Amino acid sequence: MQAPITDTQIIALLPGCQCGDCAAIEGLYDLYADRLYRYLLARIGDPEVAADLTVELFVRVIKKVAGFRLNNSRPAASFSAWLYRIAANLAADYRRQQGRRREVSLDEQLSLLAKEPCPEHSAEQREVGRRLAQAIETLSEDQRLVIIGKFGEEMSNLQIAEWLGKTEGAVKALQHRALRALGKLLGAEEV
Amino acid sequence: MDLATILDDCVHRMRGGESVEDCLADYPEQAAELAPMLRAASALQWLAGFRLPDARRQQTRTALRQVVAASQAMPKRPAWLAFWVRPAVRALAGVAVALVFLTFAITTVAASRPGDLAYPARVMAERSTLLLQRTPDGQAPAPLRLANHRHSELEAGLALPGRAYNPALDALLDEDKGLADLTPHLPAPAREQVARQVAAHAGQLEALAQGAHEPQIANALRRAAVATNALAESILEHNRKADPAPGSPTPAPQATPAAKAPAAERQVPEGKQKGGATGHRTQSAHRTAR
Repeated sequence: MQAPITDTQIIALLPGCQCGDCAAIEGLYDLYADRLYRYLLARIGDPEVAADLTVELFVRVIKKVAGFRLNNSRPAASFSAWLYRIAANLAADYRRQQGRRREVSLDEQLSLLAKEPCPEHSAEQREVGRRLAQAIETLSEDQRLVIIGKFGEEMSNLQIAEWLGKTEGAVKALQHRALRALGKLLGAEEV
Repeated sequence: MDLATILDDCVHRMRGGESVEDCLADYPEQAAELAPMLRAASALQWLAGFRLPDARRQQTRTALRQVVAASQAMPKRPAWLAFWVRPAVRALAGVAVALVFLTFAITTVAASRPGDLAYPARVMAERSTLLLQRTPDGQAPAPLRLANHRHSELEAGLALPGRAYNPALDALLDEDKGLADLTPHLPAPAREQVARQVAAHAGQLEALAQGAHEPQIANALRRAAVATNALAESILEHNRKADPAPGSPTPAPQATPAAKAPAAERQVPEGKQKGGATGHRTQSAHRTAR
């Protein structure tokens, strides 16, 4: 589990990022890279695509960060919320593009799998990711963030509550509703 | 303990290494409901194992450095421009520009005179206000006031040499036609008032024709007087049919000299001067007046 991001870290890094300081930008990247990668992975389901989108996400963030206005009462939470909103838009854009793109042919899929060191294992992983991502897409953004916080970041209810600006009870209820929906969807697929 | 709390407890224990079955065994009464949720929770633990590959990490760092270098190479936006490109400021500026434009447009239309580009818009706006004033008792006065207003505009236009009079004349004929069309729906006193006023317009047009210096203007006014008089006659005819009582306290308005003009000059057969034919007749006379 990664240590939670603190207000002090954001207050120290953000002004440098907004001035184009490479060290501050890399510091920010180190803080969020894995978190946002897992968020995108949960939304997309494919580790390769999620990694590509993470690069694109940080490029977008760096281009826009100068215009970000920090909420001084909740610096880390407000900045994280902004980052995750950009990631959510990116994932939605990707899904829209995928919807328009033609289906990949079976030959293309097989040739892609052949390049993997262990094609069977990789295909299985992809299938698990695809099914989970499809189920996660049906959740509300709050439910998604709770699930990703709990299972991707292994955060406690209190940490998630502080991150999302909610009470622990609300986090518990969101987790319950999300898991009930996911349980139904994944259970139905197995049948 | 409610189900959300039980579920949270199970999720916590599964993180510590316990299996779905261990948790279900501790909550046999809720097991049926818990089982699919805990299986979903178990599947979601797949997420926690992922880290961004080192190669991608390096690739992103390089991309970020390039973006920073490119943005530093670009000329910086001046502070005053940075203020104006903010979305809220842009929206406010847009609203302010729209308000200024709207104020300018309303002022221009309100101040327009016959012959101006905005005059038709003003005529339309003034007519549209009549729609808001439609009450059974108040129908006649407002269109009458508007028709009188058109007549004043025509007089003012004719007093200024070189000033276009046709738009005002057209508008006056349209107002009088509108009054004639309205007459069947009015109470008797209002009908009388309308008939007198339309007849008065015909007389005034005839008087203006006599005072006109240019023969072309005089002819146009005379033809308009004939058309207006025909309208007045048709209203009177309608009044006579609708209210034939001989002891009517209101004396019938007299036709103006223009009414005595030869029938051929009116451009319309006499037989069509009744009821719903007024609109058609007026348009025909109107075209002649133009």
